[in-house]
Amino acid sequence: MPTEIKIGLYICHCGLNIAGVISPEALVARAQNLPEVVVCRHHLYTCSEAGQREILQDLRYFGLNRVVIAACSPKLHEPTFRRLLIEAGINPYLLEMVNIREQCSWVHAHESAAAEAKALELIRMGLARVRRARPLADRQVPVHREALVIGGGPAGLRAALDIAQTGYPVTLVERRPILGGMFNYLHRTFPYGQSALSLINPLMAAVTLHPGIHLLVGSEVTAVTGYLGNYQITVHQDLPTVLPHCDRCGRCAEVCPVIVSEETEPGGGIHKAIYLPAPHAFPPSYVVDITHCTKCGLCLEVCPQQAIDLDPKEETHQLRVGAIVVATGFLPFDLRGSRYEAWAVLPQVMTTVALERHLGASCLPGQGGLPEENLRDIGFILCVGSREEEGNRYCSRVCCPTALKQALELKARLPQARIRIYYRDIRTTKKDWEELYTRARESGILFVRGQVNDVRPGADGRVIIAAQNELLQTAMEDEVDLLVLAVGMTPGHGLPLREVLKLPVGEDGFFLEVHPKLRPVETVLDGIFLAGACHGPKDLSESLTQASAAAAKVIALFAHEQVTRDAIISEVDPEVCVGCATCFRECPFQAIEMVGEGKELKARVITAACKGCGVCAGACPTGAVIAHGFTDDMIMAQINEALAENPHRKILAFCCNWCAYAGADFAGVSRLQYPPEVRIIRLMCSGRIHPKFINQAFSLGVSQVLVAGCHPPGDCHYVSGNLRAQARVNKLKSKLAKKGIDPQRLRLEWISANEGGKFQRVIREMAAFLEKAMREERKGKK
Amino acid sequence: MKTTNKKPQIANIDHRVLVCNCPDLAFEGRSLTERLEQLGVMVRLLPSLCTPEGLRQLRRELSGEGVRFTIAACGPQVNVGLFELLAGGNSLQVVDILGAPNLDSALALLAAHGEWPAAHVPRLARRREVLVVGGGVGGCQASLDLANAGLKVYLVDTSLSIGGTMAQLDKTFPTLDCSICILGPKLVEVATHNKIELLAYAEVDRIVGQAGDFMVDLTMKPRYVDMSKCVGCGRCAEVCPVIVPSRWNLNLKPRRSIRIIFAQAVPLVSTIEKGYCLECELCRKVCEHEAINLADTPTYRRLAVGAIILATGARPFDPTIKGEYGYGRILGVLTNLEFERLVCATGPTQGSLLTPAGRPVERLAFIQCVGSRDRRFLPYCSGYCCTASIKQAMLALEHNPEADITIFFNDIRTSGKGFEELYQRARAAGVKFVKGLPGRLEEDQEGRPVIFYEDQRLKKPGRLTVDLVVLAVGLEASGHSLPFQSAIPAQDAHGFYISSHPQLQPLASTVPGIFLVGTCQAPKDISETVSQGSAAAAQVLRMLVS
Repeated sequence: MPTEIKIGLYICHCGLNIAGVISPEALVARAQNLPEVVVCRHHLYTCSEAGQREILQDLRYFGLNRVVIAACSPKLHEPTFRRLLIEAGINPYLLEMVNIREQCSWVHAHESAAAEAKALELIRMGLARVRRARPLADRQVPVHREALVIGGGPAGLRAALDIAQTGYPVTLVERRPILGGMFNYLHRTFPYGQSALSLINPLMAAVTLHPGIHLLVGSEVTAVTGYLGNYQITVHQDLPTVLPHCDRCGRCAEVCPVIVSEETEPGGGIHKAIYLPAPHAFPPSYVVDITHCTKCGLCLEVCPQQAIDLDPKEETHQLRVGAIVVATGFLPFDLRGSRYEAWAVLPQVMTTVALERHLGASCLPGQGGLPEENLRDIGFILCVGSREEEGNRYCSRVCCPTALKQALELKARLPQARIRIYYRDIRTTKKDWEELYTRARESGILFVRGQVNDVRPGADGRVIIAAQNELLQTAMEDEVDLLVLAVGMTPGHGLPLREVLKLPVGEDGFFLEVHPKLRPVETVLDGIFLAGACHGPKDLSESLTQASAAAAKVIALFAHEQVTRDAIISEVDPEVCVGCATCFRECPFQAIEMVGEGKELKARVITAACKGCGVCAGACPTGAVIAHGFTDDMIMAQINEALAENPHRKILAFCCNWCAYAGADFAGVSRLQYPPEVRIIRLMCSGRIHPKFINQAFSLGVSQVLVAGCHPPGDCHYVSGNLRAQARVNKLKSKLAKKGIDPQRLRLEWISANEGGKFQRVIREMAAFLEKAMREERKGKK
Repeated sequence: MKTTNKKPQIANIDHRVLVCNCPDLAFEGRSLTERLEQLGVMVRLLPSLCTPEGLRQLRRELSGEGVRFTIAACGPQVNVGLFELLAGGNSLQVVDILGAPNLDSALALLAAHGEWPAAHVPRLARRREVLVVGGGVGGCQASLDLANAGLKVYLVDTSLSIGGTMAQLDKTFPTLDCSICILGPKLVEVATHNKIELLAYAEVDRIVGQAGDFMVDLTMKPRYVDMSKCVGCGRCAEVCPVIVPSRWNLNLKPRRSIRIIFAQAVPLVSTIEKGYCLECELCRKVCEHEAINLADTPTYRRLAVGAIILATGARPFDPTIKGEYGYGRILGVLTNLEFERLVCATGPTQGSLLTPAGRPVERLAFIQCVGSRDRRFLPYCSGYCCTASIKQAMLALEHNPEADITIFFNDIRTSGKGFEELYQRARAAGVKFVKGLPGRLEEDQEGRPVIFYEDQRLKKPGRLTVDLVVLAVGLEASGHSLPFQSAIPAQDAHGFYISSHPQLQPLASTVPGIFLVGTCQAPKDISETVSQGSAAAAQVLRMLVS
């Protein structure tokens, strides 16, 4: 016998975040008599201890078996309230969060009445959904307690060491043949002036020696599958061209006839085709630059250790890990192709990275430091490639202290030199950084606040800087012997990994964290963490801190033998399945198998492999696939409720959980206002959307339908669910046209988690379309 | 040999000393080996031991068995346990000469170590409990990460509720997220975690011991309310006749002598401030749960822990001392933390942006670097205040889209992820930015603040009359010192705790086993503090679990 449904409905003020626009009291008055709502309350902050306690008391007192909370986005507090239900002994999947903040009060801030009406409808949709919710059981999956760290710079080294020293095995994958990352190019660090090598070498040496760390240099991660606790990794490795018994005698490089210009390396420089990539390289052996090697064999003849192998071998490693730390670092802003390229080609101009290599002359093989005796006038330009209208809008944080440190070092070496720094703001934001700025001013370094407009060759091999001095409001020109461009940071080598890992990036191109304040090292993918500058510009101590933080998350995960995976997966009802194998073909994860023969041929879901995208259910012609948590009847009920009143004035938006729904939330967080006609239905993937949902909406008379998912090809959380959605929408459009429905009323958009602006624009455009249609309809009636 | 007479005798070191020729030594490595040789010590100068060449030679030196070696190099915070990995069957001791300021002190350090027993120092007890001092967001994060990894955590806070400064904020930058909405559930998670024992309203009386084995004495201050009975309904505060200013609301709002400190407090229980209490017992009569106990007394706890995390926070600079800005003299001059309370829904005006006279705010100004970057007060940059003011300007525009907002600055330092983008949004939204910090503030006849400033771009003095001035005050060290009775973590001249190695070990204090999180170390924003909380947890785990 089905138990009676008893729903508790809670409406949150969220301080003034909701109550400033919508009256929660009025909503309670309008919603408390809805069917099966046993108790309905409002609270200043439902998520506070008092709010939670109130719900807990109600659950027990009224014997509630469903809870609806109209508050913020489920992305924020669904876990909080699910925990509360568990505490009360109620299945956590009998909870529904209704998003009346990010997707209502924050985006309709100046339309109180419309926002309140919309909030009520959103609540009705949530009630319709929760009535059909069924208790689901979470799955316990074992945790494979080994970690993968991608990137061998400071952050990767630190994370690997922290995890390994707690007793868990680590594989460290580094793209280059040596460890150290960008630190190989640095001379000294700010603000204390220690030599970069003395900071990084102990870390590199400890990682190399640690028995628990498996080091794969010259390697790249090419494929990642699996889930929290159980990732399968494919690593492609170019095996070393010089074997570990190389004793670095250097004879090979002496005889090598090929000189390679390091155009692609930060700062430039030259090396032979066989060379030591850094003076204290780890692993400590020479490397053959295979792309430039002519295979003349001279090195083979002179090598006393016979350590050279000019036929590079490749190897593919398959790893199984429970967690991944991404520490792919950054690259300095590349001047090529930018408006600075013309400046950079002048011989007297170099970047801060190149200067770093010159200052530590040993760092730049074949070049002997700066021609110091000729340097009388030196200029620095800050914010090159940072804080620009076009290009990188963000501030790279470390360029100011880097330039100050370098200017101070030059000043110490050349006390007579006149040094000028062209800046917009000096950003020495940390406690011990301001001291650098103070010392620079005291040492006689001059600071010019303003904009550099041009750099051009001057007389006697000097360069002229043409600038606008902001404080004197005058144009000025300055002739210098050396001009240093303080270049910013860009996301670097992590980008190709983006598609492999399916990790979202922000507008700035750096990997995106789950929450900038409270979850800075976690990603939307459970078990994958961020460390260091791949997440945004950082200095050494910040990178190392974040690396340790990522390590803490891994260690906490590995402290458990099992983790809980949510129960949002698919199941096939064999009674309804006709064995057409459509789902089998569509599943992006080979998580469906066909069993039985003849008429008994049925699809079956392989539970451990299913990721819960619901692409199968979106494809099933008979409705045999039950996408738990997002079943057909739940979605149909939401559609019916959303379009119960004034359907012709509504826009129905199906948004995938990972990108489009998050994008709509981001529009809310950014307070981007858009018309209140839209009703959003959240699904795990746009591939879950069955054409029957869209047909139902049109048959009810909806004005327009939006299908929004992740950008193809790489953003989809489920490999290719977005492309399945695209195919279905295109097919449906032609069918709609035949039925006499304007195909323009069905719209497909790719909206990523940070494209709040795009979400706003799309809804505004659709609302404009709606207004136009209404006008034409009125005209027609007249 | 004149010098040797004055120097400590090292000749009794009968084993071999290996000196690392680190480029960062304060002296020439060569001169150290020469001096040692003169003293008759077996010594070898090796290339930097953390380079491949140095490691190769070190391996060769250590390849024999049963020799006693002393490695004169860097301490464990730099060498990350590197030398132990190579020791093999030899006894090895490492002397940190990198920290020695000159050759003589390096010699003295080596001499002192020469008298140590040759055997390894026995490993001391390693307790798997951790004390976290301070329940702000950094302390909470560290507690949660440690507890999730299976360690028992005691979280101690002196105030009535955990939450720290973040609980007082209205919104956070750069996303303008509601602060308590994201913090509140974390506080609840801390309070309900079965591995965390929350000890709010407690004072630390004594800390003794060393890494792996500390003993800590606490006083649990009396709340005069039985925590096991109180349900946080707040009926007591409704009847309490004593009205006093709420310090938590920066004295902008009244409260009762018995109260819950703020709506989302954790633990959510009432407390009587006994100094104000009339003992009228109205609260006792109204409490249905018989939770009021006016005869409550302090209780004492003793904890044994393996590691300690200090997350004791900082405090805002008090701008009263900067008299020219008129704080405390002109009513319309607030600090930025007071502004947070003012615009917050649970604040004194229920979130309306009003002047002290109750008028809506139409003209608003922010003054940056109050206390910070000022040699008289805080010579450093506090880092958070530029972005915080820009956030507050955006909040003011939400309250009143027509508001006229000016920010007086020295440099705009929005250098964190997404911060520059917020700055650009504020400029696009019409917030005015004036380069140049005002000289002084006066009051006009109607009591409104008048700002006297010079725009450095126009080189012109100006005056601006506004409804409200917000002072973006810097952060200074909290000034509270903990009662350490053995080794004391070092603090800098400003009172912030120092890291044992600010670059490589930013979270380790100068005392092994004691770690630092958040603004007790230097001014920081929330996400840096949260990262540090997790990172300190990793360091504790490394030490106590392996």
